[in-house]
Amino acid sequence: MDNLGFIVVGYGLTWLVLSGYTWRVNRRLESADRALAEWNESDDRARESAAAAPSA
Amino acid sequence: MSVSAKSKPAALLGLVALAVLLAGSVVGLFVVPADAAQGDVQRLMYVHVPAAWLAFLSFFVVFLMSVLYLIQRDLRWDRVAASSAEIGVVFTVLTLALGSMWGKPTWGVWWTWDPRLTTTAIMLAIYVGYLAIRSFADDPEKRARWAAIVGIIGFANVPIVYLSVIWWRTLHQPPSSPRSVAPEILWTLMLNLAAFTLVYIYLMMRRIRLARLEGKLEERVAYHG
Repeated sequence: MDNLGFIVVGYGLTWLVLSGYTWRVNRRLESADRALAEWNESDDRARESAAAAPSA
Repeated sequence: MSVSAKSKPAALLGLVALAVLLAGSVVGLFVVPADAAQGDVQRLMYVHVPAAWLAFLSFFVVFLMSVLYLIQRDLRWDRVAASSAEIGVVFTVLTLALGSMWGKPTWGVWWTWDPRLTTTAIMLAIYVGYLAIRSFADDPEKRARWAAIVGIIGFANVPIVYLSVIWWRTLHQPPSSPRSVAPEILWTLMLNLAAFTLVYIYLMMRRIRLARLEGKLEERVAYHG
């Protein structure tokens, strides 16, 4: 195969860029999902403690 | 409505995209014969051309969603536009890098201010600018409005990129037609185009979901401080 270096780097870069971007999006997605779940849990806890507190 | 990071259809599509991309790379590298004129380096076409087509598709989606947003003022369209712009920038960077790698052994230079290369670089700058503008505005409505305007005006450059090889004298080859390409080259190109399109759909599913989650977090911060 002539110009093997260009071909290997070209295909390698394609895979690296596409998999790297996919990895980044998935990490951001998991992080956002976790943040939202934690907030929802803290909301639920706040509501439960407000319901359990004796009314004045 | 619960929005989870895990999605079975997206994971399945991701696996299919991965398999087709792998098949496309194997066929492009080892199965299809080398080009008679350029030799093996022409194999870079099987990744360079699909990356360029997907960049065009991504920016067409940005244009379409920007128009829809300005008509309906629905932030869902803005989220789709933003997702597609980000993915389009990734494909454009890939297009330029692969073109440069193909250009060096065939033209003798990594880069030249050729009309196709220059208009593609301008296209990249426009959509990097589109993403930068989004980060300047805190108000989602204002951000979406500014971005939609840039998404519509900026799209004017996309047909110029495509037509640049027809309008001007350029080092870059003009668009090929199925009649001017050997069937095995055409099918390999179509296989890789299918692979890149599947990757785009998969990334859009994930990126739109991310945009929706980030919107919810933003709402939450705005409400609770």
